[in-house]
Amino acid sequence: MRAELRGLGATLVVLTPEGGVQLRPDDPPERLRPAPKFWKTFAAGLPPALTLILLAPDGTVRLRRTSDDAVEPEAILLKVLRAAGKAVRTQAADAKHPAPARNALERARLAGSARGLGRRELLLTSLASAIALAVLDACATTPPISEAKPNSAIGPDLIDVNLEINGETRKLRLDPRTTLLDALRENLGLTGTKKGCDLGQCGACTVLVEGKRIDSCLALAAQHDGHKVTTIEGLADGPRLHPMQTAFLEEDAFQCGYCTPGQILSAIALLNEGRASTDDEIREGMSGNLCRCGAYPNILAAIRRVRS
Amino acid sequence: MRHFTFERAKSVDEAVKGGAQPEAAFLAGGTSLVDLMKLEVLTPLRIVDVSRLDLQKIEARTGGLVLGALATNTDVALHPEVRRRLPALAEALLSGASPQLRNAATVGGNLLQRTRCAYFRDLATLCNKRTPRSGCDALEGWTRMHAILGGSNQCIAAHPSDMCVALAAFDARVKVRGPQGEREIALTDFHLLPEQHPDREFALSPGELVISVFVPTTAAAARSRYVKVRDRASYAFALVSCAAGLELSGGTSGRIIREARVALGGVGTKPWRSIEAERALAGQPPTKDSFRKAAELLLAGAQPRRDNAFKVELAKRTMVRALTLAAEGA
Amino acid sequence: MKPTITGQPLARIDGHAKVTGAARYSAEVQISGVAYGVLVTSACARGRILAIETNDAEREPGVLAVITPKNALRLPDTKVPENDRVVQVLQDDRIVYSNQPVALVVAETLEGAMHAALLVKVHEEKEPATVRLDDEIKNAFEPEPQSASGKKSADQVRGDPARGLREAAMRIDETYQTPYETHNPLEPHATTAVWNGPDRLTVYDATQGVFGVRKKLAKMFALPTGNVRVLTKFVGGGFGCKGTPWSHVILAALAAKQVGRPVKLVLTRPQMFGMVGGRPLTRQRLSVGANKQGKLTALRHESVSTTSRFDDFLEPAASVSRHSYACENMATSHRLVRLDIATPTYMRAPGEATGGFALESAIDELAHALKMDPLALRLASYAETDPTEDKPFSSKSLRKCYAEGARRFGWAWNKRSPARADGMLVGVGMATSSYPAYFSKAEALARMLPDGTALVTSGAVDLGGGTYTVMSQVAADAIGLPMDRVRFDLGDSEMPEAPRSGGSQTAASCASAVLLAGRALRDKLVRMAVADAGSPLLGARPDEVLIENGRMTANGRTDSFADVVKRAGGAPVEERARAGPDEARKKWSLHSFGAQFVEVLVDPDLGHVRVKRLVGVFAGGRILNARLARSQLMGGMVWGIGMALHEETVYDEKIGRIMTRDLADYHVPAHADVQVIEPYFIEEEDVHVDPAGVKGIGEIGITGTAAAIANAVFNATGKRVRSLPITPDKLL
Repeated sequence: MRAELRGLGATLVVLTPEGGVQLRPDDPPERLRPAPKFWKTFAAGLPPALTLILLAPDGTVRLRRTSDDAVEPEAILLKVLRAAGKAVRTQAADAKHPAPARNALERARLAGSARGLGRRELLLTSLASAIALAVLDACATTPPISEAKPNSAIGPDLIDVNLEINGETRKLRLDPRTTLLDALRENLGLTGTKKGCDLGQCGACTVLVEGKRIDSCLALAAQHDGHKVTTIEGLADGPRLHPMQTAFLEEDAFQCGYCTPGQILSAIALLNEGRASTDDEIREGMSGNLCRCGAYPNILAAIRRVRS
Repeated sequence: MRHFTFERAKSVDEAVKGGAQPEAAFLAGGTSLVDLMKLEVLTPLRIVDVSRLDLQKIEARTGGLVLGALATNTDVALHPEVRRRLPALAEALLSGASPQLRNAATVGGNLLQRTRCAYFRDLATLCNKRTPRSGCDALEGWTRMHAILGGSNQCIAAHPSDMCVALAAFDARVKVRGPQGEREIALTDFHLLPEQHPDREFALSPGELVISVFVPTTAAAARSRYVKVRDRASYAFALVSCAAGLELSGGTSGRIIREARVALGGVGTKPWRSIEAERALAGQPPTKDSFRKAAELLLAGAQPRRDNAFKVELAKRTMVRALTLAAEGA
Repeated sequence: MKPTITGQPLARIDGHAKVTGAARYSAEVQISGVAYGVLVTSACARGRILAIETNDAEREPGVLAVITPKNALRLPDTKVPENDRVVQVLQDDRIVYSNQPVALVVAETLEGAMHAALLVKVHEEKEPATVRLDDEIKNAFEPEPQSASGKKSADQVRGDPARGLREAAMRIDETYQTPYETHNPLEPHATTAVWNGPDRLTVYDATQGVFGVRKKLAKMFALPTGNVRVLTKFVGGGFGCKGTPWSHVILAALAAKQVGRPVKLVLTRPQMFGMVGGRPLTRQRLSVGANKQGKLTALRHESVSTTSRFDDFLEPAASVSRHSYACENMATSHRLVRLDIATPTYMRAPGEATGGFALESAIDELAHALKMDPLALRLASYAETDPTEDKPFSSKSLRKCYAEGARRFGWAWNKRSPARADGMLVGVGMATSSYPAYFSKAEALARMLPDGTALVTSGAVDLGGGTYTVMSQVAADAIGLPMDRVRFDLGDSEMPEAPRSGGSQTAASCASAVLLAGRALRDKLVRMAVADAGSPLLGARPDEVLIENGRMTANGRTDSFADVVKRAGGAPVEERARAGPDEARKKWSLHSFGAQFVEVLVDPDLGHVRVKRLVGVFAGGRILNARLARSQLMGGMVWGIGMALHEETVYDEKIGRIMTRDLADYHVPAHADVQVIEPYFIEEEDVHVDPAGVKGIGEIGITGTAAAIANAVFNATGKRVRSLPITPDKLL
């Protein structure tokens, strides 16, 4: 949704009579309570209702959509979500290949224009799909960003690769040159796995494949077709962090945080490997993960904490 | 990366067939190949994924160990029989790369590891190994990491592997299968000296796939150590390394070296086994003096350059250290 | 009001996002329709682009553009802002260093862009070039004061150093060298540029300062500053190289405009060597004399450092000698030498890290020559006031740092420690640490929302030092709220302006602004309450109102921030404040100080050095969060280990190209290199340095460390290494 708003250069405001939520593409949602001043002038004479407003960068209203009666924001979001979901499913059934979620917007737009909807409705449909994606995003452990890049961009030699990422099967159609790291970051939007050197020299891209830690930058995605991959996004159990994540927080085992996902996965693997009985073993066993901020002693402490 | 087709071999025969095609490359762990493909130092048109072939086994037989070509560095290093019968190999593997890389890297891939010469890896420089007869910027360049043994006027790139040093010292033999069938190559013949063709690094024909490595486990192998000197405490290539094994006879007081095994890493254009030094050690007492003499002999022909002259002395000391540790049997 | 939250060792507010992978760095912002940019860089160190063949690259499927100096959009303005680094942005055919951008490929996919970049064939006409200091040292020149750190003049003399040396009982006259180094934050430089219309630009950049990026982009694209927005919510380390916007930032925006698509440009690791700066090489001559009691009689520190042909960057290495020791006769000088290299830049503790190595090694050599405890020698010339500027120190707890460090380390001076049973040599060494306390103009906005929570913003960047967390702490105390009701946000050029996160100044500058804004907001709310007919506090005197957890109490009656805002109509109540150095500050010499003690083990045969234990005690003013401060100091000390033992950017002198172009050839410390690190601090109350009382601790951890290690290596081996890094070959 942020991407869509960014593309439009717009701000989304969801208003209820009591207040609402304002979302700029690059800021956290801002709660508005009570409704901002512009709303008072803008909505004068309208019955109290929930309204979606899309503001252009200069503050002019691009789109306004008011619900029939006053309902909870959750309810209208749900309504919109259902409508969008339906649109996406219809499109998916029409398409030969499973619809990549990021294209849902485009498809929704096309569907809209095919039905002869006006520009407003089109925008709303887009917005609805966008909201749907955002809600899906919030619900799913992994964000449903495009599963495949547009074919035209790559040429005819794409290959199908299935990866079981954090317990979920992901079907990808990839350029064979795609590394496991880039498949995660660029194709699946799982950016928790970091690219530090792209040459197997820093460990920031460490993931577990079939339970073993490897540098995902030196693995072709195709090579791991059918394999189970665990990334940083798959460690927490809902709001409950993995003990190693908690230990890293408690021991302040990072600063900039860029090497951290790799360190955490590497540390989990190290303990599973059972070769971490002394400090020196831990140091050696973690030497494939560079930390430029120099948090090593705290990383050691975090691993010791989980080990005991 | 250049475009390539990707195929997964379902059998060794299928792999060999695919590998014999023009500009094909076998993919196992990927730690060396994918790295060099990203830099486009290697640009295969056809990738034959052999990683799922049934070649992972490590077998301990009487008289030796058989290491499947796809056994990972981790699996070999932690194998109890490897640790017992050839500790230098386990130590060599554990001193190489990082746990992540060792989990992916395989025996076969490590045999075929390419040099870490910074010029070889940089398309903006001249390199005879990359492009035959194009010239070599390393010869008069930054040579700290380069070889002092086995170089030619074409190439002085050091061989980077730790595993191969240990295997070279203990008479390992490589079993390969190609379109013409199976054959065995002694490890010391597997890697070629650069001479006038630094682009040819391996005694392999197109399509030949490494199947396994056999390494005899002798008394000297059981009493072996690997010492690696590098710029950081871990996760760095060797400045100098040494695999050494000793078979001793006699009591604790009057011990004599019955058989010695020595190979150096980081200093040669290939894993540097020295039969001459081994012969010089045979019959001598296992003392620092004998070790130093053998080391002097081994390094007598070294051809250092501006930045790597220190390797001559460092190699001698490393060899003395490895032999000392082997003699202690620690 | 006494702060209760500031200073507490709270966990990082942004920690959860970092350990779950949710934190999005600049290349990870999800933008629909983004295209990938990959740079093509030069091979030679100096010359001209004759021609660029782009056909093969353009044929690669998905390639949107191959941008070269021939077809690149002309920038309205090719001059960079003052005091900013000169960039190479495809506006001409000159090659001024190796690995310089010469073309840029934009493609639909990363794979396509990477490959196409390698298909671009650049024909260069080479010109004679040199990267050897010795070739050009004859042309060394005195740099302009404005390019020197702190705008101090390059040369300073006090007393008669020649006489001081003549009359000394003992003299040391040695030359020390520190190598080129490269920052190598784990996150590569990355810029994502999005144009919203022809004259509005949004950029997500891995930078240490969003306002510097905005200024440069606005100038070079001739846009009103307000039309450029720069965001950096998370940055994966900077250490100086992300302090100024380099060529790729401009090129990402240029490419996005040229192809009409958002463009994401990430440098490859090898492209991080040169183009984005690094520590210059320094060669420093130290002439130090002392009387028999070890009191310094003369101190001369002459530094030569390298810069590019086209820009001046001065590593102020001799500056450290101006403030460190009491000495009547002192001379310091800086010279620059131009070479065919990329422009160096600030790298963690510029000047103090390099200069401290030379100075603190020379002091150790002097102590050894006098057969004196090096700590005693340092105390013999302890500077009670700034020896160059004749000013008092705003605060200085170095004596305590020495004492506390010596106690914790168990410093007992003996000439040589005995070797261990395993043959390893043991050595101990120490050195002084110091770094100036910088303080720059900063603004903050504090806003009370009707739900009684506060949102405080200032456009700083959190490099990992903990800005998100400590600013929330300062704000909570200033306003009178618990932590969970304050949110501090940063990293956006739409926010009040803060200085770039460099020079250890963010905590001092930003915290001062946040403190002032928070207090102003609190006072405003109190004033509103006592004047509000609806408030129980109506009529109370503002100074009798007590504030705790968002509640205001006076005379047994209570009101809350939330109610004040609601009664006033519900619009957020806000206050903006600005902090910055004033005239009074100039009366003081402002520095952090510290002392480091180290034990090393040296393999006498193989030359390997291991830093067994490193103890550092630092005094950096007020500590805003002890847990995070400890981590940052520890990080600096680990950098000191890297500087001492590992790091060196090596040029091939024949072709003028950096050959240590990745993390396998450029060694930063790995986990196994780091044993016991013990950072401690002495808290200081300093009312002169800035309103927050903070001196900054981002850089002091690396100062002196390399010397302490080199001194310990000498103690262990008898070998004095005067050229870093101390690699095994130097100890054979």
